[in-house]
Amino acid sequence: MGVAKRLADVVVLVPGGEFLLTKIDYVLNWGRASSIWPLTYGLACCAIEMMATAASRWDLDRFGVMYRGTPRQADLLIVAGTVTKKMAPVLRQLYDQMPEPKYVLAMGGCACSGGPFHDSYFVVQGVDEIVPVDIYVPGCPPRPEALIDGIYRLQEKMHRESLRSRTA
Amino acid sequence: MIEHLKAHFGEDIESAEQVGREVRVRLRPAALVAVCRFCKERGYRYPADITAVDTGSEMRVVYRLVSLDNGEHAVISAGVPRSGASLPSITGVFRGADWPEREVYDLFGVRFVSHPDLRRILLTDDWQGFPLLKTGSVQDR
Amino acid sequence: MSVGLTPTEQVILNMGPQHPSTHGVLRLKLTLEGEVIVGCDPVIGYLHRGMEKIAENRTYAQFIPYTDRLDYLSSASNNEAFVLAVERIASIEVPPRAQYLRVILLELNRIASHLVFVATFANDLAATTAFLYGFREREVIMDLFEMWTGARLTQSWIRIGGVGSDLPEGFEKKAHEFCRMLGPRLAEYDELLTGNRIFRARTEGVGLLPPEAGIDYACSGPTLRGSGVPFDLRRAEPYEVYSRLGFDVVTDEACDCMGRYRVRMEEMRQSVHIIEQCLDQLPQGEVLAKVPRALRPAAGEAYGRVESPRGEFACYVVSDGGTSPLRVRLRAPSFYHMAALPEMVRGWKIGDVVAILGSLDIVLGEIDR
Repeated sequence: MGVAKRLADVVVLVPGGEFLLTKIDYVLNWGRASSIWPLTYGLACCAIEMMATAASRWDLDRFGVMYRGTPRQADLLIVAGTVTKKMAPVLRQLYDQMPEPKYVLAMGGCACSGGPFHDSYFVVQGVDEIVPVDIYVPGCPPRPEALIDGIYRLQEKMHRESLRSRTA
Repeated sequence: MIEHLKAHFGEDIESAEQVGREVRVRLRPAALVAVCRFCKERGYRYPADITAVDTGSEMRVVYRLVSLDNGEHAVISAGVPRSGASLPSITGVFRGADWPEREVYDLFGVRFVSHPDLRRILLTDDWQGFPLLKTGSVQDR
Repeated sequence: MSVGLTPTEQVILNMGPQHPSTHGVLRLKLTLEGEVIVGCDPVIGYLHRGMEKIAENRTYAQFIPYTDRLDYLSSASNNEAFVLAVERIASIEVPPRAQYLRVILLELNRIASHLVFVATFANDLAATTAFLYGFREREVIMDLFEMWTGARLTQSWIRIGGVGSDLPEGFEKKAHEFCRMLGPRLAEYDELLTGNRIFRARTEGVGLLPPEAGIDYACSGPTLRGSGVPFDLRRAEPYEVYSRLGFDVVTDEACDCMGRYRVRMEEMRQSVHIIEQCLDQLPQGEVLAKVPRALRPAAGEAYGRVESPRGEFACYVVSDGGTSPLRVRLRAPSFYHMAALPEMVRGWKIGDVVAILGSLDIVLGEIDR
């Protein structure tokens, strides 16, 4: 995603005010995608793979990903692990506390759809029952490369956004 | 050990047998605290586990006290009814019995008399029912 | 109460369930008098997945992957406890080669878990670089696991009757390389962390657990051994081939956070020693006994105990002769350590809570099940 390539895409003379608007979109999206700040929200086993992805070998910092402890400063909620009925209200509260624009990445089978706990009395069958999800990363747990792929696709999604129609 | 228990508690011990390193004792609930204290004084100081087993036809609460000296397990079972069950709490004998007893209450509904703080520990405070009993189905949603 | 002429009152501070330093979804309701903690009420259950109920609706073999997800930092120990209990009920003999392989897997899991402990413990105390060091070593172990089992974290490789497969080509060489590499790296940690003035100030004398209290709360593993009690299930109730292997039971008399940390550091070195012995003594033979896929063990019960990196992890399995267990009770060491936490943090400050909680090395997956 080099800057030069993107610049070539955007530098197109469009009549009317569209030209200026497209450029702003590009800059904003570039800013959002290049510095995704997730909330430290590891629930279960996936949290360990998330930590490993942020650690030495698969360094997430090189993508601009910096973990924040408070939802007020975060723009991505990586739900890594199983969401239980006891935790669900907490999850919703944290999501509501995050400022716009915000995104949710469901990491692991449990967050995507309940995973192996499909018949448990206490497990929410997928975090999309509580918050809107942008990216699903399946796996149990997903490999660090899979999580990085998920973040890459989130960046692509961010690049497709526009001030005119933001789909959260 | 079995001889000592039977000599001391007589009728309250419904059955006792040695199976490998386990001394399996089945007793009347009223004698529970005294038997646990008896065992603790004879070296069974490590309250490894307290749990309940619901077989469908009957239910028992199982206490596992381990001796760190000779490695033997005193496995003490007390039969309880499957609803409205209550047992004396052994938190006076073992501080470590506090949380496991709360869990048995939470998942099986067994009340522990004179427990310092008997409330749900794993499930939400307003949860109805006791999931690990055989009466409910797995998908209780 | 009042301080001088100013009346004060107690404050209840909520720590968690979302908190960078609580090692998972744990909520601590701390009652503070000024900055000093006078009461602590841990609230757990935020990761309660109903595993014990699920066990009653799966066959014995199907439940093994669920056990991985309990103490997810050391999946093999959970498998082992469950499998030990089932094999005892069903009177299944495990071939000798499989027993050695199990020990290799268990000890690699132990080192991986302790590395995460050092990484996160130091990270909580603001030594953020240690996080990167710990995970760097751990990645080599993950490579070994992936080479052998295909999975990094939750291997599910200890099956009823043996292990999933034999060692692949090149594993022994890589494992020896790893064992040689770890010693000097641990010395690096000692240089950077153990003697560090700040680290010592935050861990020495903090969070005392007297041995009698530890035993009364059924604490085990490094938490109890850090208080001087030499209780290690690999020696107390040996399983697999531990009785044939030479290693020390590591204890520390300090009873504080530093003591527990030192125990885990030394245990890593002991584990390396164990792995090397296993690789040397490895006999030829089968790696999995003949066990029917839908196993129907005889009616009975057994309590399988293992020395997991956290302490005594045990499975109490009750069988009624069917393909699914009648009851599986998962006894998690961290559950009992959490019960001892309120007593350990009383009189300390919030920063110390982080150190004490970190030194217990809890995993919420096994506390909540």
